[in-house]
Amino acid sequence: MAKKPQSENAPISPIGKRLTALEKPQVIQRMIYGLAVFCLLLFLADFMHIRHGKFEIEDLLGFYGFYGFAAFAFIIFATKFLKTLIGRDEDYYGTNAVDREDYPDAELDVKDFSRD
Amino acid sequence: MTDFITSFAQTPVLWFVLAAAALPLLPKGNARAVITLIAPIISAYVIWNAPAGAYAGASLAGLDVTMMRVDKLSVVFGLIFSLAAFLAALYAWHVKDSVQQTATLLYAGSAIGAVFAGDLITLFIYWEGTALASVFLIWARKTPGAFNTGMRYLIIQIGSGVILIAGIAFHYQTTGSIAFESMTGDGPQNWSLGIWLILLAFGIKCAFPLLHNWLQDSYPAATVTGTVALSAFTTKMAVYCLARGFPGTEFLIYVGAVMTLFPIFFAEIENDLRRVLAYSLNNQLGFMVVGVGVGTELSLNGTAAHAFCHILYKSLLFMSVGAVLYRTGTSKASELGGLYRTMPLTMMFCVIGAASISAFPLFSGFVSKSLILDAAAENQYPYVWAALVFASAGVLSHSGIKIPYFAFFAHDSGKRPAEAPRHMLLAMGLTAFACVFIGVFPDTLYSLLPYAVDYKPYTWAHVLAQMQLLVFALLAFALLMRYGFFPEEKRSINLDTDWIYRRMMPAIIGLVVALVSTVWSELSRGANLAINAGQNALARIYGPEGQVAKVQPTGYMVLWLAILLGAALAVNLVVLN
Repeated sequence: MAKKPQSENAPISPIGKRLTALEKPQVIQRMIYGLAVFCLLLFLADFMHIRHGKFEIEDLLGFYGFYGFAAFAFIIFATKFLKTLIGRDEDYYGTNAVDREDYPDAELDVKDFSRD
Repeated sequence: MTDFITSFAQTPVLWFVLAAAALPLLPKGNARAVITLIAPIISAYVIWNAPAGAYAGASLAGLDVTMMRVDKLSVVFGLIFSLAAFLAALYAWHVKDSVQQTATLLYAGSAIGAVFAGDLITLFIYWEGTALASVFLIWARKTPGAFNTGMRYLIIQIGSGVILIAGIAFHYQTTGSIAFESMTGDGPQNWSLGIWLILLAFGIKCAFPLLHNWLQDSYPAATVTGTVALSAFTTKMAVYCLARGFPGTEFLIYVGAVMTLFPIFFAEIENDLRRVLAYSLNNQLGFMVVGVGVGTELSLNGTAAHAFCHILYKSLLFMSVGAVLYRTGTSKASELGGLYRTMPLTMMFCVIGAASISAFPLFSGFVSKSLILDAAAENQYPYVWAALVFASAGVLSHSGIKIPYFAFFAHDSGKRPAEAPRHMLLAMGLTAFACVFIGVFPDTLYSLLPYAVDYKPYTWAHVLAQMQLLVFALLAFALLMRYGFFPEEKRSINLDTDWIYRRMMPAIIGLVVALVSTVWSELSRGANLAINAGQNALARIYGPEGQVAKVQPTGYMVLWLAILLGAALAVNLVVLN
């Protein structure tokens, strides 16, 4: 495999550097507010009554939004219960199972600059 | 035999077989990789220019087979399979392992052969071809775990083929025909055993509920590049077979609806991102099966369109997670995070795949999934429709958010891997371009579909509904994450139906073995005791120390002789009188 000089000297790319701003708590908070405002706008758009669904329930204001929100929240809380029910240790199926093995290095071209 | 060869030469499969045969003759390296790229291009050219109709017939063991049945349904699947084979080959440009290259060629060729099969015998041959070729993509990982997984995969795949040929035999016995046409007749209540067996074989490869787990077991065990190929062919070949053989079978609607729902929960708790994608694949198949079950022109168009888009965005997601695995050595969410810093391009392609599978407007999933949802609504299946909308929010949760979020964002894992190699970026870039192109210009895809399309995906009502669904779900994610309700990823596995044959059955067999061996050893111990006792008794009488072996004085002999003579005399006296 040919060397990739661009990543040799500057492991963090310019795009990556710009995106690190996303990790600041105040930026995260602002993004959540932005998302909430976007949701509100989408909800208000329903007052234009442009949808004439095949089922009556579709014409309720904000039906899709609330259904999506509830579905997502339900999935997350249901999986917490499911995980305790069927979650097991990685070596549950013994040592000759792929979950326990490291991926063979010969197939890979691992390049990590974190320890340089 | 000659008619067989000339007919085979008319199929696109020929080019894959020729490429696979030429591969070992070429020097190792780029020449071989070029061959794997050329075969799918010629295949697509052959399919594009193939005249409609049924031809390339031959006689096989006294049965008339048809190797090319060209109509819009087979062409759309043939084209996307060729495109998928090309993209997978480009992604695997660096692979020097000729076993994997050959296996991928024969695997893609078999899948393409199957969609053009005009009869069930040809279908069966290619059906088994995909099973045999694809298992090498799992074994190529060359670890004991991958070998075991490959064996399980092979047993189930070959099992599906055995059920298929049994079904074909029964079907031939009752109808005298091996034609591969719609087998629905006048409803499932009148189906012969043969038709049920054929449906079961299709159902195994299509990962129906409870028959599904071979998929999640095997795909994460394959090589980085092998999984990309695996994700495209086997299951979508089964979807094609269902669309061809069982359109409008109503119970498939409910089978499909269950398929869209249950994998969501499994995907959400899975740690290995490639297995998350395998569950998500299962969920997407559910949408296609619903489309087959509804069976109208709109819904069958939806199934074909969704298979087309799905192959692209699912390949793209497997490619991006594969690139992460290639550079970091792991695809486990618990070990990853923060990779956007050094793999920004892979991250962007992954996000495009995630947006496509989540069906955001302007991405491919939006223009294909809505055909199926509208068909379900139009035919008044309110609960199925509600399940599909729920599943659409679920897709966002495990594929739309979980995959890119845990690999590239979330908590910083401290890993700073290099960006994916150029050929991988190129393959991902082309696939991402196709996803966006179809999303923006859906008519290109619609023109390929089996029936004429009179459908406008981009209406204000439709876009607004989808955006509400997705953006509110995103808000739910953001809030759950912000307030610590979102489950953390830990190193773990989850039980699924594979538990039955990896834990329960071996345990039962172990129990039976222990029982039988205990009974056997007790019985043989008893028999030993009896034999020993008998031997000892005999030895006591006849042995060297025994009664019989004692030295007897001569007088005894004379005495016994006298008694014998006396007895003879007495008998004579009695008889004579």
